[in-house]
Amino acid sequence: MQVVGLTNEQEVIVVDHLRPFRINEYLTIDDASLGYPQGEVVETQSFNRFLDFNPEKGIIGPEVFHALTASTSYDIAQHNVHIARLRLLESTPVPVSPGTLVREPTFEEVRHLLVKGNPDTGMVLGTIHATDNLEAGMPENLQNRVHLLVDGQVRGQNGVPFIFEPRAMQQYPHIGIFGGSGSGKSFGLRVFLEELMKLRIPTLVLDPHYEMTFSDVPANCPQGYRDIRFEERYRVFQVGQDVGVDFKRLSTRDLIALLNASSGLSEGMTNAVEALHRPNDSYLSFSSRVEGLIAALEGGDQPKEQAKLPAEARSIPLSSLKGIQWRLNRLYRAGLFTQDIKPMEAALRAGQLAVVQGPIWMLNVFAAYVTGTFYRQRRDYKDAQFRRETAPYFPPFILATDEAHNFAPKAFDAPAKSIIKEIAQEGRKYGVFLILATQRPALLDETVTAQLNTKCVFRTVRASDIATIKEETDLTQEEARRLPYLRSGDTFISSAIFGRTMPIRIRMAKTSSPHAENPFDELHQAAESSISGFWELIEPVLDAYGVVNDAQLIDVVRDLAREGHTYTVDALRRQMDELTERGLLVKETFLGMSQYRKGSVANQ
Amino acid sequence: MISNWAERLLRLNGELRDAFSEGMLGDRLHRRALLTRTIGPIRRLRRLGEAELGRVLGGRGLVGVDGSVNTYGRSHPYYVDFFRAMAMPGQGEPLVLQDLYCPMVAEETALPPGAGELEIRQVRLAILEVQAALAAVDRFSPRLLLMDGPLVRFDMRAKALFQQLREKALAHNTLVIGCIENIESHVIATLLGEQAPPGWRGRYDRDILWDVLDYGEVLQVSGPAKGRESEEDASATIRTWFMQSATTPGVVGLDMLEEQVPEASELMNYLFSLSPADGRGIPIWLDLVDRAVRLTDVEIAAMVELLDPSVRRLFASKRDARFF
Repeated sequence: MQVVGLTNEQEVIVVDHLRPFRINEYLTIDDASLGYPQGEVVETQSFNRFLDFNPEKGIIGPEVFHALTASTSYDIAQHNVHIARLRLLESTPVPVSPGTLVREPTFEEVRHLLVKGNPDTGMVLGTIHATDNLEAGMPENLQNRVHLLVDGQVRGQNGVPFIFEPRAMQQYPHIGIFGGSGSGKSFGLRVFLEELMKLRIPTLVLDPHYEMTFSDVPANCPQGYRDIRFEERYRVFQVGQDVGVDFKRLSTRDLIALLNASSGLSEGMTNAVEALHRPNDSYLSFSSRVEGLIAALEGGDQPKEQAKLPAEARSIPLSSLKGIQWRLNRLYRAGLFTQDIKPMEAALRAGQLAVVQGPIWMLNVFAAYVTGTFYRQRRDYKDAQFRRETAPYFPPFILATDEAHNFAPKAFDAPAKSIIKEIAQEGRKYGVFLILATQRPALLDETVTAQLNTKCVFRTVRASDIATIKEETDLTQEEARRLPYLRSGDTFISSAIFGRTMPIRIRMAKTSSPHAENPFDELHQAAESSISGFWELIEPVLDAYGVVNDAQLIDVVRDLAREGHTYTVDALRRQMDELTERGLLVKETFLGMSQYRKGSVANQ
Repeated sequence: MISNWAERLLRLNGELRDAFSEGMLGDRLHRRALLTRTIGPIRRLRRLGEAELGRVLGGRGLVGVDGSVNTYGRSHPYYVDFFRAMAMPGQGEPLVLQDLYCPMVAEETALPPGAGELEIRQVRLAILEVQAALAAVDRFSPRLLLMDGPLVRFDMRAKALFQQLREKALAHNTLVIGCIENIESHVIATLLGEQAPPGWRGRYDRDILWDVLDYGEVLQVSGPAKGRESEEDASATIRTWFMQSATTPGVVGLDMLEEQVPEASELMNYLFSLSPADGRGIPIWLDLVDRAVRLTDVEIAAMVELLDPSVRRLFASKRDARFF
């Protein structure tokens, strides 16, 4: 390998006759006077001057070279020239001298570039692309840390592990995970969460897809790979069932946000809530106040009732009150006010992952409430600490969510948006961090996006999203061009911590999503089990009858009914025909009437 | 001015069209019939299969020989010719011979007195190529030695050496084939003599054979390859066959030693297998040697750096400083 052509302080062309280069591979320029600069391959090409393509001249058919090779063992590939564009990681004081030899680096030479954490205290997320040749010199504690899943096959670690040190978030807070569907984004988020559980970092997870459970083991999980009992490190809470909002602790602003999330509030309704809500109101006291007022207004002249009301409430129009009542009821029926968030707080305090599930509209409302509550507690504690006062302890925590553009959308408001924005801007001071995954980074609030100091970019196809990513990361033109073609599970991690973009293969997850089963397989299985159930039912009947003809179907219906199974003659015939199709029954015509008997398959 | 040209061009077009028309040369079927009757059989070739390819060279290999000449400087006698001949085996390092010639420091050369600049260059190149071929037969003892160009030409330009090559090749049982892409011979017309149809007289073989053979056919000329650039007796012992090895109409010539005609016949399918259907029709190996032997301008420039500036100045020309 050597440097050829025009060089400069940042970039050189390297050629080799023997081996093709790999994109993202690290190479060392063997020049002591420049301090052995390191570079990363950013573009690769191979060329054979005998296999040039000139559309005007036609091409040499493969059979001709084959004739040559078969008769003389000549190998045309010996004329291959491999070309790489190598971008230096640090510019050199003068351009690299053409002709300088280039070699593969040793692990120690690039260690400081690749490994910025300890695999035991950091999040081991995957392996760095094109580093497998560095494995030889790698210390033992970096070896065999991960497995990879490639085209459905489990592979051992292949390269230097990528370690993300959560401690570094103190300086460079918040993580974004971007990628289209099927890009491996949700699976990447899962791996992040597994690592957070490994490190027992308190994490609040908003799970609109009902998929962030960690008890299922992947089908092909290698022996010993699942080294943590994840079952003990996370808890799932259903909004309205396991957790809810403690109405008494709601501020008027929170209540307005809640009702608004239930269904948009008009200005009149907002004013009405402001007028009617009192501190320490319970659900009951507030809802009966609204109800009483409605009754008063509908009842016409009931001065007694009206007199009890504050002056500003007397002018509230009935329609606003009804609107509030309807929204309040909707939240109540969803169970939002029957529980509180104490169990979630307990989970966070225990260093667990608290996963909240619910329909997205309610999750949004609840997220605003629960995140706001926890964030305030943490902030109060830290602020008190700064002021040298005492306040009840609340641990630092991470808020992680998929479909983040629903919670902090660009251009319009959402219940959780303001709290997410606040954490994005101030969270680092208090040790509260975000992990936001979305397939539409272009729709995520810009203030929030700008604060994500580490961004994992999976396959992205939409031009507007690619444009956003290009703006918000240090991805190069070539890397951005590769985005639509990344394999599932491959990602660029652009992080202020590393100072440049790292190409990563996300490791195999140690847990799997409960939705791993394909819904169409599920349909098929349901059909199968229903037909085999029917077979178990009908087989003894057939054995008794020997042959069942059309006229006897009604008797069979009666027999089955006696055993508690209801069939119409038509339904029975349909099921029998289905069994005939599978060869379990044989359908014949005898004296102009069709009849069924057991088929050869059934008798085997 | 254009109209003047156009008129003359149209006249030229008419004359050439008539001279090379089917009316003058005979139609395709007629030509084929006449050729098979008087010149030799037309044989159909095929691409060899895997197993045949494995044993066709009898484990002895293939060598291609080609030469190149690069000239530094422009006007006589202010130039240097760089000659290079290469014999490239299918396996192993190629054998390379080099020579240098500058008319200002004339050396002894076995040239006819008064020979022109061009001739000197060609003779020197031919000598170097035959020397490379000789050395290659010694070193590699290949089954097949492919040379770029008519054997007659080597015979004429490097007579003694070519004679050595002939003897050595026969002794080593190395088949020598010269491949000709631009056929400038009158072998057919010469062989036919008085028998030749009037339209064929004085015509190059390539014109008589234009669009006569099907892709994959070879015309095995039975008589000696006379009718070359000169009528020397050298050509008496060389045979030329014509092969349609590309899909565009137009044959290539294959020169061989008279003694080796039967063996050559056996290897015809192999030569055909080595020829790309899309290309110029000669075996690919010669393309590869041709590419390998050529010196680039950069290489010449690097070598010229060895000269003192005061010497280099001699070769510089004002032409090089032209803007356009």
